[in-house]
Amino acid sequence: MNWLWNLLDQTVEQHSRQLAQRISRRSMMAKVGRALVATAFTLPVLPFDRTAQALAQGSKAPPTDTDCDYWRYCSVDGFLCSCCGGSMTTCPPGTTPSKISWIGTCHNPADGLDYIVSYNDCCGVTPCGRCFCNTNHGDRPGYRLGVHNDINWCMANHESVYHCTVSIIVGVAERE
Amino acid sequence: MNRLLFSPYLLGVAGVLLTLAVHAALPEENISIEPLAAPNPQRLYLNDPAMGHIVDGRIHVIDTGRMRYLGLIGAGYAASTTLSRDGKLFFVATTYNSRLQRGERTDVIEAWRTSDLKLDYEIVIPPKRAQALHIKALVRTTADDRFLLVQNATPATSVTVVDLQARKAVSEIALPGCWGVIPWPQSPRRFSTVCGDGSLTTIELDADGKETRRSAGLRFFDPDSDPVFMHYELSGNRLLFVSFYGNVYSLKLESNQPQAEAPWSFVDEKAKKQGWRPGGFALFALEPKRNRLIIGMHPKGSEGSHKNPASELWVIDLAQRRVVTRVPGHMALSITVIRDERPELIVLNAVDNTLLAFDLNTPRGLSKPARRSGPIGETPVFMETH
Repeated sequence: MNWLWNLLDQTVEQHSRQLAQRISRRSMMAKVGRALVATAFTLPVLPFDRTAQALAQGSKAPPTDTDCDYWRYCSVDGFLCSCCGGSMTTCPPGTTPSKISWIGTCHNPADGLDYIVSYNDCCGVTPCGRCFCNTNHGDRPGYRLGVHNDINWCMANHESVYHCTVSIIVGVAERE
Repeated sequence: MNRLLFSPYLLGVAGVLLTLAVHAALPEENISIEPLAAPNPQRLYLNDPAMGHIVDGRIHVIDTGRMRYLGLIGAGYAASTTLSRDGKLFFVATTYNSRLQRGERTDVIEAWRTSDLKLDYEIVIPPKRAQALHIKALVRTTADDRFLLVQNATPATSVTVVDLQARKAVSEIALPGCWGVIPWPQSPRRFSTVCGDGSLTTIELDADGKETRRSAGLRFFDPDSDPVFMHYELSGNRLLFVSFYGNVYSLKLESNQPQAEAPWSFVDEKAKKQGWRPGGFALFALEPKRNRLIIGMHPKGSEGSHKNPASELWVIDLAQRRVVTRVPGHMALSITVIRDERPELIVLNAVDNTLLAFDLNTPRGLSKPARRSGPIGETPVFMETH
């Protein structure tokens, strides 16, 4: 049976990718090369909104890569790897990138463009616990699993403990 | 002289005197275990995945009648939980790695006794369960407590059927593109699941927990234009969902096929213009006595705001299909109703992790909390009561 489940996993993974792209493009036309499809997406994980606490801290200077409201974190749900020894695009030393991910479409105010962002998790080490964000743009319940962020997207890794999330630009999205 | 002062004899006398003095003040004590009152409707289980160290999640057990902390059930990695229908067992579906953060993954169903919070038994299941923030559709017992249904994601989605009598996993049902297990309240071998095309699929089990029949394709919502939250409530045989935009979708779980009813909105035009939308996690609850739905709402809603804590709680009369009360939301992330002779609403405040109890029996009971707990846990998300 294992081969069957593996096949199902691969199929679902492909569907998830296609779905994620389709959903991101619902109002935008994505210009993404094959590189996107080749990239293993991974996803953000768990939690929920602590926006209230974030708001309670008041407004501040332009957000940086360790702030939840930094533009490319529009769909992050987890700990920012930028605060955990990695960066926006790199996993911290000692962790392993997740095999699967999901994507969001985020607006960069600096150049006015919308970018497709792949949210990969970094796995295999107990959670970083720093810079928790939950922005939920494009998140949908588990019946649309490819864009569901309340679940552990390290699930397909051999070592499936969630550590933190990176946000990698994989293309420019163009308005239709 | 010095030798005399510190002789064992004198020290012994001093010791006896000291002991007597102590005895005069306080009696001797023995360690014992705090007695636990039998579970009652006020008993609440608060699922806290402890995000910052999620390998070590917890279930906080609270007496909401006195807002007293009763104890804790260790719950492992991203646990999903449910009470048995008879209230005797609290099931925890969880994952342990042999080296905490690495090593071999074991998924297990733990059955904890609600009478003394001790482990009664465990059942190892295939290591596929969905490691997710808990919603109640992730693990449920069938209506007769015979089988436990566990949502899987690898990311292929399926359901593991666990036989609680034989204490083993007996089947795996592939349900690609579908999510959640919703046992039918009066058909113990039947459950439904929500699929990505906006349909409900219903599975019939045989006496051994294997699939015997499937009915798919009952479209009841449009996941692109009006997605429903996966939280659900049952009003008798009627299954209730609420959409991101405040529409109620209901299905009758009767006869051989579920029947979808026409959706309706509880957000009037004025409120729509102000952007009022539902938000939270277990964001609505049914008050069965008067058949009312209480739901967390926030204004100025936008894409991605569907998990925002509540600015207001709205009370909806399901028969009249209208909002009858709007009260402050206390930043509710999840809510539940104590199903007692005098029902109460319990609110989990997302900002300070406190629980608030509101009297549902008086017209003004929702305007001010009757009781309030201190902060509990770290990242609690879900509450369950007897």
